[in-house]
Amino acid sequence: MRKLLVALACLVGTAHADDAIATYAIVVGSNVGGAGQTDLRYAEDDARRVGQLLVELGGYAKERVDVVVHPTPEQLRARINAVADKINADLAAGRHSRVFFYYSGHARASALDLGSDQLALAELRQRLFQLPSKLTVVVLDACQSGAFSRIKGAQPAADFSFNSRQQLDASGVAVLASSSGSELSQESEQLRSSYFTHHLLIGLRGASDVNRDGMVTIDEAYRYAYHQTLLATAETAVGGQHVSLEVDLKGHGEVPLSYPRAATTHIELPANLEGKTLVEDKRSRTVVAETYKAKGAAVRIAVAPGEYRVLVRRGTTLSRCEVASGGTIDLDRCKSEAITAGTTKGGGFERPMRIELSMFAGNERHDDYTDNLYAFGYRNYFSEPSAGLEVLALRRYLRWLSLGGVAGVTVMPTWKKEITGGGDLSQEFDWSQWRLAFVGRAEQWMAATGFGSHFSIYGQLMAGLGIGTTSLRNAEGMTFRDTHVGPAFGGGLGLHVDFGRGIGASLGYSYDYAPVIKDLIGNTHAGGGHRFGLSVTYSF
Amino acid sequence: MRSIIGSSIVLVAALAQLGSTDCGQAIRDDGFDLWCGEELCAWKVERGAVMRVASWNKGDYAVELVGSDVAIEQLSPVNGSDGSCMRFTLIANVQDTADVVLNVDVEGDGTVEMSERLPTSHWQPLTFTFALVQPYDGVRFEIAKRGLGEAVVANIGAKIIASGDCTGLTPLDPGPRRNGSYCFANAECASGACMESPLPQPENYSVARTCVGCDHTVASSCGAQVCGLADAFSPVFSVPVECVAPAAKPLGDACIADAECATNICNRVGDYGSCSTCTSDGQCSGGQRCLPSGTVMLVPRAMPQVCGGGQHLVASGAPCASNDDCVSGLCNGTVRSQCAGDGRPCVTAAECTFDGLQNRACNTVGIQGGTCQ
Repeated sequence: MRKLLVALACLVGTAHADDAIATYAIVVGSNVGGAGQTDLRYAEDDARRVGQLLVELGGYAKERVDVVVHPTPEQLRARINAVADKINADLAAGRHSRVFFYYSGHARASALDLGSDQLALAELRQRLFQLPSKLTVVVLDACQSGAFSRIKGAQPAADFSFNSRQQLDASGVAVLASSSGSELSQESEQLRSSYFTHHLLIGLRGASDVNRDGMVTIDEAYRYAYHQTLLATAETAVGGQHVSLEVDLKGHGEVPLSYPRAATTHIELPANLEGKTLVEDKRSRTVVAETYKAKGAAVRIAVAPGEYRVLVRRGTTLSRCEVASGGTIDLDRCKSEAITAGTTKGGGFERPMRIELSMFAGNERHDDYTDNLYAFGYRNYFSEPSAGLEVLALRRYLRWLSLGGVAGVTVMPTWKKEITGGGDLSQEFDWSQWRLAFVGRAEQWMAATGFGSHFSIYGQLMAGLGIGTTSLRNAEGMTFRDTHVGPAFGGGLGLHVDFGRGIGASLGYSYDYAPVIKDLIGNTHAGGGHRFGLSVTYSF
Repeated sequence: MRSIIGSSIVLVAALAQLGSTDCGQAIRDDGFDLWCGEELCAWKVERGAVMRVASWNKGDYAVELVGSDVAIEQLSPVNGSDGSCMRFTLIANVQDTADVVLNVDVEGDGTVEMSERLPTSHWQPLTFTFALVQPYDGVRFEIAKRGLGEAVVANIGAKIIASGDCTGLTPLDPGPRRNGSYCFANAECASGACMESPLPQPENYSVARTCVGCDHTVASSCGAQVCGLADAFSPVFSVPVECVAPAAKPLGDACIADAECATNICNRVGDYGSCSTCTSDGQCSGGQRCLPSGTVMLVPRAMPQVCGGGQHLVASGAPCASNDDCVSGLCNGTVRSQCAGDGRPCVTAAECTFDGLQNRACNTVGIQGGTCQ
C-alpha cells in the first residue's frame, strides 16, 4: 500500500443560490508516510489545489475552507470538532449547512496514516457521518480508500449504471473514494499529482459537465473521474485503479460540486476537436487538465485568469496552443510538430520498428588481393568507389538500444586490363559482395522535446555472413563467375533526423570488413572499407 | 575543376607514352591472354612447347613452359627514341627444379646482352631494370626454361621508364650500328657512314639517316661492285644500303641503281624501284608499250615494268615478271614473297610476326627472272 487518500467530507452547496445554507470544507493533505511507507510527493499540493478550486468554482468562502497540511490525529479531530461547533451554531440560528471533506495521503485498510500516527477509518467515518450537516460529501484519495465504505457494508458503485437522478437526494452522505478496498492509489510524476485528484479536478473544472449546464454534479464528477483514472492507470506497473462511490442521500435534487459557469475564464475545446488534450498553467508549470477530447461536443474548462498552454495530440502530431485569457482553441492557429519516439507510461515504445533503405559509397580496401590484380596488369582508374544499397530493419528493445538485421549489396570497382598491342581488347573483372548480418544499434536523442528531439546520433555494430561474387570476362569474350562465402563485420556512426509521421533520414559512416573473396593463388580480399551513406527511414 | 585536373593528368600521361610502345608497354600481350587456338598469338615459340593454364582466376590465362628445353620470344619495336631505361616485370610460378632465364637481345641480332635467372617464386612479382645504349632498334625478349620443374609465366611487362631510374647501371650495348640502323653520326655506324637513306624509313624511326655501306649517290663508291640494296632482315631496321654484285638482281627485284639489275634497268619512283626491262615505250619493239607488270602494288617502291606488261602480250620466251604479262598466261621463274610493311623475304605469314596480334601478311610481289611459257 503506497498511498492512501482518505477521506474528505464536504458540503457542497448551491452557495450562491441559498444563503440559508452554510458551507464548510476541511481539506487535508499529508505526504508523510507511516512505518514502511515511502513519503508521497504531491498529496499536500493536491489538497491545496482542491481547496483553491472550492473557492474558485465551488462557491465556498475562502475563510470557510480549512486546508490542513500534515496534521496529527488530534489536530484533525480538533478541526472536525470545530466545524461541528459551527454547524450547531448555524442550526441554532436556523440555517442548514453542508460539509466537504477531502483527504489525500497514506492509508491502510483500517486507518489513515498521519505520519507515525494513525486515525482509524471507523472513527473518521463516525465523526463525519455524525456531523449535523444536511449534506456531507467525503472524497478520499488514498490506497484502499474504498475500505471506508466497507466499514459500513456498502459496496462501491461498480460502473456507470448508477443513476444519480433517481437515487441522489439533496441531503445525506456521499463518499467518493479513489480506489477500491483492495487497490493502491497512485501518483504521477508527469502530472505532478495523484491520478484521481488530477482527473477529479479536471472534471470539476468543466470537463465532466456532460449536459453543459455550467454545473458539475457528484454524479458527473464520479463518472468522469472513474473513467479517466482507470484509463490513466491501466498501463502503469501497479495496475488499474477503480474510483468508487457510496451514497446515502435523501430526496431527488442533484448534488453540485462545482460551478464552472461562475468562472471568469474558460478554455473551450471545440466540438470538432479530437485528441488527447493537456492544459498547462505556464506560470506554475503544472497540468491543470488532461483529458481525451472526443469529437461531437465542446468542452469548457474553467481556469483561473492567467496564461496557459494547451497541447493537443492527434495521431503523430502535437499541436501547441498558447492561451492568454481563455477562449476557444483553434488548432489552425497552433504550432504543430511531429511527435518523436518516446517511452509510454506502460514501458513500450512508440514506433518501435524502423526500416532503413541506404545508399552508400566509399573506397575499397587495398590488400594482397588487389595488389595481385595490379601486378597482373589490372587497373581501376580514377579511384572508382565501391557503392551499394542495403535494407536494415531494427526493433527497439530499450530506449537507446535496437536490434535487427541488414541485407545489402556492394558493387566494387571494376578492374580492367588492356591487352597491350591488342587494340580494343581488354579483360574486365567485376565483383560484388552481399551481406546478411545482425545489427545492434545504440541511439541517443539530442533532446527529449522540441527541435532537438528530431535528431539522434547512433553507433552500431554488425556481424554476419558475406557472399562475394566475381565475374571475369577475358579477352576471348568468355565469362568466368565464382561465388565465395565468409564472415562479414562492420561498425558505424550516424546522425538521424525525424521528419515526422515516422519518416526520417540518416547520414552515416561505417567501416566494413568481410574477408570473403579468394583467388586461385592464395590471396583473400577483405571486402569493405570506409563507407559514407544516406538513408531514408520509416518507423512504425 | 576536378575534371580538368583529371583530364590534364590523363593527357600528360598519354603524351609521356608516345612512341613505339603501347601506353609505355614494350611487350605485346604481356599477360599471355591472347591465344590463337593453343598457340600464343603474339609470342613466338622458339623451341619446345607451351600450354595454356589458369593463373589467379580461371579466366585469366598464363603460359606453362612444357618440357625440359623451352623458349618463347618476342621482338619489341621499342627504339632509342623511346628512352634508354627499361623496367621488366614478371609474375611467375617457378619451381626450384626449373631453370628459367630472361634473355634480353638488343636489336634482335641473336646476341644476348643480358641474361637473368628467375628465382623460385610463387606468383611473386619480379622486377629487373636495365639501361640501353642509345641509339638502338628493337629489343628481343626471350624466356627460356631448362629442367623438368614447373614454370608458369602469367605476366611479363617491359616498360620504358625515366632514365634517372637507371642511374649507375651499365647500359646494354649492342655494339656498332649495322647497315639499316638509324643514326645521327658516322661514328655510330660500323661502316663509318651515316647518310640520309634513299628508302622510306620504318615506322619506328624518327630520323631519316641510316647507317650505310656505301654512298649511293656516288657511282664509284663500291669499286667493281655497285651501291645497291641488300635483303631486308628485320621489321625494325631499314633495308640496308650496301655494295652488292653488279647485274645480279633478276627482273622484279628491289633496286636503287640500274647496275644492280641483270636487265641494267631499275624502274624507280624517287630512288626506290624494281628491276625492269623498260622504263619507257621507246625501249619496246613491235609497237608494245612499257607497262607495269602484274597487279600487286609495291608502294612506295615502284613496280617492275616490261614491254606489254600486264596485257598478256609478251610472247613465249620473252622476259616477264608476272603471269599477266604473258600471252600464255604463265611466267616461269622464282616466285618472290615479302612480309608486308618491312620487305623481309618470306614463304608464309608465320615468318612475319611483329608488332600486333596478327602476323603481317606474306605477299607475293612478283616472279623474279621469269620468262613466258
